[in-house]
Amino acid sequence: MKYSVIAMVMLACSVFDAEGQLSPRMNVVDGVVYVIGLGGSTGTNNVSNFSLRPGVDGSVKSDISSEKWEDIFSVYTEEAYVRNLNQPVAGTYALTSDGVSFTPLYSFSDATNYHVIFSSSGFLRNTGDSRVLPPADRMHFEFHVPRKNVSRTFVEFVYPESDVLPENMLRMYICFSGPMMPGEVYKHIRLVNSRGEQIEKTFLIIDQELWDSSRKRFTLLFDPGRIKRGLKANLEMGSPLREGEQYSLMIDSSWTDVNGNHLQRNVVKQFRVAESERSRLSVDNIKLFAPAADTRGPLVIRFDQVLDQMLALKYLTVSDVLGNAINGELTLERDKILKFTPYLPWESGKYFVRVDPLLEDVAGNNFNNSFDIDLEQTNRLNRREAVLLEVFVEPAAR
Amino acid sequence: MKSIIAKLKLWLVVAVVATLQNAHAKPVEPSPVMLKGEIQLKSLTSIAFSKEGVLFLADPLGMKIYALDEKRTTAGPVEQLEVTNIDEKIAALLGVSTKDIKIEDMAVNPTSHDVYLAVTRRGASLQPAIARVDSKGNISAFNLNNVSYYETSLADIPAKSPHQYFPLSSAITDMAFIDGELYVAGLSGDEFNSKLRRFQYPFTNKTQAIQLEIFHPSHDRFETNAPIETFLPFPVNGKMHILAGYGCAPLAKFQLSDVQSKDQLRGVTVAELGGGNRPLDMISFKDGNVDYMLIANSDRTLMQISSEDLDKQTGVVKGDTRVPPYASVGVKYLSIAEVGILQLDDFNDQSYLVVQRNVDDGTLNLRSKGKLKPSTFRVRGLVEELRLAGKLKQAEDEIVKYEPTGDRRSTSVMWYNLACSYALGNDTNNAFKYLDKALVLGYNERGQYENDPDLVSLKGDKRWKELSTRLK
Repeated sequence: MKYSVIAMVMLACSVFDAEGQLSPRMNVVDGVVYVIGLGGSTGTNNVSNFSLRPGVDGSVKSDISSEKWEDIFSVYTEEAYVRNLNQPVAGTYALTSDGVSFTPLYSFSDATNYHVIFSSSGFLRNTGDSRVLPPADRMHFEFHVPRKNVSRTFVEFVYPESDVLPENMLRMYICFSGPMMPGEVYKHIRLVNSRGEQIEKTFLIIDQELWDSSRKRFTLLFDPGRIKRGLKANLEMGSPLREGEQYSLMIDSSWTDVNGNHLQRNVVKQFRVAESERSRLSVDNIKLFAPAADTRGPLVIRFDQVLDQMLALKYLTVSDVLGNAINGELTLERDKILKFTPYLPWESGKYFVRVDPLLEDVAGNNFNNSFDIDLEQTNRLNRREAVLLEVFVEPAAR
Repeated sequence: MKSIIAKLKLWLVVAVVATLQNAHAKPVEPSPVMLKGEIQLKSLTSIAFSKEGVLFLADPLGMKIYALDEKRTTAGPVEQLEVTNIDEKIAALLGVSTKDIKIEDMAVNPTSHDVYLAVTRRGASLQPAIARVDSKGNISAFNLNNVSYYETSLADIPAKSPHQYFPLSSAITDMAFIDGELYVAGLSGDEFNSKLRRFQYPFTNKTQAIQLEIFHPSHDRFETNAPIETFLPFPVNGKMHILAGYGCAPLAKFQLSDVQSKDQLRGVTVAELGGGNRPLDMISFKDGNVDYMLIANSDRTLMQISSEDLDKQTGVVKGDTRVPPYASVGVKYLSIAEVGILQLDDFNDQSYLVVQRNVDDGTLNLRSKGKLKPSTFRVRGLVEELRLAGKLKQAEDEIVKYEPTGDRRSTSVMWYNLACSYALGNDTNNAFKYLDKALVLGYNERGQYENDPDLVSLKGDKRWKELSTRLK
């Protein structure tokens, strides 16, 4: 990282330059700020009693303790400096052969100015020098951290991928090519109908925002109050989506990634709304297509409901008759078709597809309950045992 | 695009296989192990203290909870605290501008009264940080580079997932330490569900997740989906309960013994705090035999609810009431004229601490505020009445009765006022006797003593000089 030094202003540093023996200089290298020319172990100086001594362990020692350096030499943000907040940046001090260095606790931020103040009176006071100083005895040094030159992030996928989705859709995922900055999601996503009108109060606002640990996948929830029939929000405002209507989810490129850069481009996800899906997932509506033995052809599991992409990949596994998991890769196509491709060719015989009953479709219905359950009228099921589907791989024809 | 997808998938497969192998290689640790070194937070959304000064950090992105011992002793209780423009100062400390920090949570260390603020620092990289404010209002960065800690996982990764696994996205909204256990409220984005988790402390591998159901008055139905925004232990009818504040905005109670013994529990909704509002933080305090809870809200004033009113409150149930939009129903509350409170925690016996947005100038400030204790107001009113009526002995009796359970500040002010009455009556001995009591309790502002015309008669006395040395 290269830092550009904007300006180095000396304010009446008369105490140091009387004999030209000691003239401290400031610099910033690799995120560390240095004040050098303070005398040092070999330097002679006749203006202060400061000395740096090599310690037994190779470290450098001086009579000035690290806490005291903060009174002598501090780094400030542009804002703190201009507004005179008297709050220096947190960090640690270390002695060098000819001075002292400051390493911030959190690395200096991109595209930002910082100010370094070195107080010669503070320095002399701590070295035991009692000479009288002029009122302006501070050295000021300003540096700028340039913006990182990195490629801008883009939206890789929006799930579900289908362009026909149920009216009571609960959840969408927006996946990015790189980590995003949290805290601004709801400013950058809008739902717009075919007449270009923005649909208000569509999404469930969660302050913390639902990101995965890499901050590359955002979970967008539609307000369940508006989706569930009979709830006040549903009665007053209706479902955010209307059957038969065409919508666009607009993702604005001014959304910033973790480097502070905007997205490469706007993204529009268009879809038409079909009738609500209010039934539970059921094994009766799953079709299995067995692969051929001795091949690595995919085992195909076709649902008739638009599945939640993340849960589908999380909750479906394949095992042999003994319950041993088969290793392989699972993909979801067109939101309904799961394809399991084993790493090793299939052997003929019986296999089980195990599905966790908590697998959900895009409207939040799982094998136990429909999302729109009224707990007073229906008991909520809490089964955890896997839904088992049998599939037989026929021996290859010889 | 295709090749990127393929690479991504391959990478995930490799990563998962590696993770799983690691998981299998390590035997499950039966007892808690103290770790030493750096805590590398991926996120920090909630912090909490136990009474003993153990600090808990919630990292929902890293799927971890950390605990470290922050027990510290200080010289004495801090009476008041104020740091103006707290956001600007924290930003300056962390080396970024104010727009690049977000204060996520606040917790007061009960052993030192230092204030800990969980902050997300944006900028060159995204970093969670903790700023600590001491009793003098100095702010320092709380460094996690070299600490001793315990950790536990929030992950509920399926035991055997032979193919790629995408980690859950989740949020942690609040934590509280109750009876030796840590309670964590959260929301998982993948299975849309609100859960309360319990962790033994020091952490073992035993955790329990409780599915809570409540009646949602503004939805007029029972449901499990609303997220708990904030919760706290609170007694109702002599039994410890968890009082949970939900978004949009039911307040529900769950008996603690039920929470400890069940997997699924239906709570009793005791209030609807009004739709369009979110409760942000809750604290409780005692006044005599009555407990009070304070609720800070996103779109309402600060609310104070007494345990007496909660004892009487029956559940709000379906058909019971038709809640008009944005109206509140259920338990009675005192609306305290405070708005813009974004963070709230208990500070000391007399005061609570807030991070508050000033509606006049938009500044964000950290400030202690006096608790509204009805018993204190009753006694102070009564003592003042007796004092002004010249019934000084009776006034003294009331203060003596109040002192053991009352707060120091109020007691000291009452002793001081009583001394003033004696001074005005030229009873110098009694005046010095009660000024001494006020000073012992910390009422020692020099300006007050020196400028109070009631005390003029004492200034010629040699005891005044001695008293003067005790003023600040």
